Amino acid sequence: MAAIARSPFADRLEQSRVPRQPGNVLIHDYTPVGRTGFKGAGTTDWLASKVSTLPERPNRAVTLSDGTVIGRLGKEEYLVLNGRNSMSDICGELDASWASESAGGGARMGYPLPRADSHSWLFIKGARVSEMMSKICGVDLRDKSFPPGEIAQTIVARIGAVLIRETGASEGLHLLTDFASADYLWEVLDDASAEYGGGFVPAGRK
Amino acid sequence: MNKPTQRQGLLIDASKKIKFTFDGREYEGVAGDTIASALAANDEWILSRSFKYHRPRGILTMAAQDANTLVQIGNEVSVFADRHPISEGLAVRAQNVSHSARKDRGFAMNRFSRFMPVGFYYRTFFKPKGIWERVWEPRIRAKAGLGKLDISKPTEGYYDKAYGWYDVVVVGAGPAGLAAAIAAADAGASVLIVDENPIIGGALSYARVKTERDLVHEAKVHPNIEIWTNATCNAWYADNWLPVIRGNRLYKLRAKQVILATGMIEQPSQFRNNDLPGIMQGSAAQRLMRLYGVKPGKRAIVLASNDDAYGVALDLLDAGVRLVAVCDLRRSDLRGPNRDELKERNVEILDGWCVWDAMPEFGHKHVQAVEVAELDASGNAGKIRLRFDCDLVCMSVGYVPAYQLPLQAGGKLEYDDVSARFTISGQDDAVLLAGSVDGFFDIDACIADGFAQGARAAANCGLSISNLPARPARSSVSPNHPRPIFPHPGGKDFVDFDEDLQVKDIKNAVADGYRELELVKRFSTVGMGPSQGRHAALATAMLVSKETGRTISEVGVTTARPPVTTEKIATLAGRKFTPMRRTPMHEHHCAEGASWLLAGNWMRPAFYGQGPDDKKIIADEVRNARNNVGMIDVSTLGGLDIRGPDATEFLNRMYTFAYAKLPVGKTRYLLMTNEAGTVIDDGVACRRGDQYFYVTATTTGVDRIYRNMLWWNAQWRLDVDIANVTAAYAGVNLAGPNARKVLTKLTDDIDVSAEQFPYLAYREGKVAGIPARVFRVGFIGELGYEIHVPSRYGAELWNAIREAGQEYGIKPFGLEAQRVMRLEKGHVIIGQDTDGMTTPEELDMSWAVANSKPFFIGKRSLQIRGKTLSNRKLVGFSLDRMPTSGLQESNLVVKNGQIAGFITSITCSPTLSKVIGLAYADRADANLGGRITLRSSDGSQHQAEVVAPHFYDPENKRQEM
Repeated sequence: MAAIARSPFADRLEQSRVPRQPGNVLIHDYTPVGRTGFKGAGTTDWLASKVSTLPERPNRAVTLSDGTVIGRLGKEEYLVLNGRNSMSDICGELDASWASESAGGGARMGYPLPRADSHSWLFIKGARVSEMMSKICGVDLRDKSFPPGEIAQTIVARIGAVLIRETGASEGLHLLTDFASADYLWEVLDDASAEYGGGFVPAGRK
Repeated sequence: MNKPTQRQGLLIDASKKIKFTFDGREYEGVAGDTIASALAANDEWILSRSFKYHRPRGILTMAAQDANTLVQIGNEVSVFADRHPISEGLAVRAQNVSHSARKDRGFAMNRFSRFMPVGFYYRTFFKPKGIWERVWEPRIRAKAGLGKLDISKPTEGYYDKAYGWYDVVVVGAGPAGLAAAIAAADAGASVLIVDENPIIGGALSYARVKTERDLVHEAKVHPNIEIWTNATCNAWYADNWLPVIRGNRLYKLRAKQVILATGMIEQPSQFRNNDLPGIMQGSAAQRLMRLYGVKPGKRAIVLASNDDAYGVALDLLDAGVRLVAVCDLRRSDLRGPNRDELKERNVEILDGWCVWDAMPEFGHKHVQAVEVAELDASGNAGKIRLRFDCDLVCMSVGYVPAYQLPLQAGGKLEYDDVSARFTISGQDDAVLLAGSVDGFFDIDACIADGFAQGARAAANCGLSISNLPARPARSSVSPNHPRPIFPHPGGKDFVDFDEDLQVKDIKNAVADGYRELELVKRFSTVGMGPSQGRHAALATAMLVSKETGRTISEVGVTTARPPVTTEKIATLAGRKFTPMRRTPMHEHHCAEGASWLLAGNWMRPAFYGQGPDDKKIIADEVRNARNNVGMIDVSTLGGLDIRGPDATEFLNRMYTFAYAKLPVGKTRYLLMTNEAGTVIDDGVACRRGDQYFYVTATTTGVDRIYRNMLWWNAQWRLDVDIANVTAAYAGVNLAGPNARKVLTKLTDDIDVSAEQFPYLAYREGKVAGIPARVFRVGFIGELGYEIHVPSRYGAELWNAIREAGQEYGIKPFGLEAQRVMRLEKGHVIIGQDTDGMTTPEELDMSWAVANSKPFFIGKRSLQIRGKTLSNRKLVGFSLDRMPTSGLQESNLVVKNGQIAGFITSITCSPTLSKVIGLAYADRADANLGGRITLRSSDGSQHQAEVVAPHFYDPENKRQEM
């Protein structure tokens, strides 16, 4: 199935320009990388039984040793991102575990959410990311106000978005938005990052 | 003329020459010049013509605060010539002129001013009836307005917006603002200084003041201070939300604390011809000299009422201007360091004298002399007069605080008529005032107040301040003259330069009964020009107070609303964000030549291909789906996962139908009403499990329905999880007699036989190797399968179906063909065939309402509405052919000359070869075989037969095959 999965940015990435200078705002498409979500009564307990640590409160994220990011979006809602540079597929394992365990009924364990298909996933990297984001997002994303481990569920350029400052990933932000709005988001980010000499990194150049 | 090589100013580089044109004539300026300063350096003083009388106007403030300097550059109108820098080849034109600023034929209006008294618009143009629209309005509109905008041209430049966050934002980089910023920054606050000028320093940069500390340098090197020059804070909104315009970007700032150090605005004096070029504020002359190295004249008169005026006089002398005399409106409280210094410079000082009349050169192009008068005991111009030849009059008679932002922040402006002092109080708690805007006129007190308020702001931010300094004492002497107004019997003593309003206009407005300032403003238009009353409000208040026998404080000022100064529509618009959604199959649609339409914010193919006749293309798509097999991208359809022990109960409450007995693997129609019983959405519920429904909703309605669901369940607290998975699933509706054959080729694990996968059944399995949710629907009235797969695989699914269907002649069809076919089938579209009152009964859909349920949203209202049915009903109708006048949706259904309803859907059916449609009609006419009257847009009326709305395959044999 993975062979035919397509990022909504795929067509654009094929024609993407190479950012002019390294160190500027670079946008990486991680949409093809695994992610999942769980929500509903029992989710926290169930997920805690599967991973080493969970964020202690909503709008916080933790990074596991293999690079997996677990974001807590609500009391009983989580977003899980496979490590960007990791071969492990915790999301796939979690989905499979949930499917097999839920078949047996019994304890409440929340419900899976199709995050790999509902949301595109970008990682925006560079020293001036927060400056660039200030053009399209009303949340103060500077280090002082939005330190590593913080999550903002907000609006970016008029569409709903989840922003995550990954612990250990300095100068970068995860941006997850509506899968169907990818083309619009491309235009927005390409425009916003141009001022900082950046843009989308062509596929395969992560 | 000021020779460029001799010019020395803070803002210019005299070694770099720049050529530009004004009204077609070429001028030479230097780097750093504004248009106004460069023209002044070339002895060109007329920048514009006044609004009504087309009187020549020149520099008044040199601070981009007045309409005198508004010019046009390219397609940009009303540019401040005293703020906009020159550049090589810049072409500047005067506004509101017939020919040029120098030679304006409109100046003839000056002679007719006595025929245009205040409010003459209201009295003159309304009789005889209709003459306003036919004659006057077009003429006045042609004359009115500043500049000429070619709206066919695109906006030049790139405009956008950005957010910003600071502990402290200081508005105004004068001495108080700088001190405040330094104090707050010293305490650890992140500070932003916003100033509209090209350099910071405010009065420090142009006025004759000395300070011990180099505040400008300190602010510039402070690590916690960010400085924005050429930036305008154009409003204050609640919670310290500040719109700041900087270049082509509008910043939306949030600050924990705002310090308004906006300073003061120097005021003109009112005397005859006080608007002539060459008559300007003292501060304007100082700006010309110190910032731009331009000598403002050769022979000067200074009109004084404070010690700042003597600073102006000294600066003029230092610049080599011959100072003819200083007329001081005061007779007492005359001491001041500048006056003392001037006294030693052998200049004639007339205490207790005013300027009474300014004499113009031919054509009013410049002041050439003034008549000054000794003031009598009442402070009016007396009979003893002197005449001085001069080409420059500097007015330094007082100030008003720049109160716009403080008042927008909730402050109240008070004025003491005796001391001629303003006070502002009561503004928002998170807004502090600092410096002269709050009555600290003396430079040392002004700076000390800045430090005190900066520290206070930092403390308010929660930062540690060991010794919070107290604010200093306010200056004991006001720089303001209580009434620098000297009406002349000949008039032309302007109060409002923007609107050409004279002293008598304000008096006459009061005499006409408009005693309140807000009414005077609306009747006379005082303060309604581009300057927004900066130089007219105080004089108007003084005149109204005198005429009505009240104090100025009682008269008050007009409301200070945003924006503070002019702003471009392009700035407000910024970069447009118009979210658009695309399905995963978008590129395939493009490749097949789709024509697009918007459904909500989704881009959907309307039809495929190009041709001279869209209707033929659509009809071909319909025929292929009816006779072979078609496919349509339905990824935009709303999708909601409803899961949990109470999922069934939740659906039973949200929708009108009943779902408790719906078996797993089956679907059922969904109809949703609101609390009023009005139909608001429909869809299909697929039962995936005992506690799991996959629910579809309309493309444009799903987000609202999702919000509705969350809102209701926040009250019901049912044990159910609701997830909007619309974007997560791509969908294809495969429909037509050969649909089963195509699907058979694509799946191994779903038995698609009619027996095993009947109409309204739901199945899961793999289609083209992709996990899919598949259900049989009949929206277009043919054998059909809706196939939903995860979005990432949508394009692949489309490809696979397209390929598998080749041998059956499969073709994609667009939304237009789908709408035709659903109409042929008689299926309603919520939002198109319904309105804000539609009940299920009006749609003949009472079968979808389970009244046996104890509750569903809208049930009670429907019961009440059911007792007294509406007068209308949605009916099907048909005509043999389309009238030549055409019929379209929203055309009326009429009966006995009254509106009985309207057409909701109509099409020329390619399948039935006749016109069919749905319309609301009188309930009495809803019987089959009856006639209704349809009215075309041109008023012609046409008879249509009422028929069953199920025009095509009424027995449902095709969709259930």
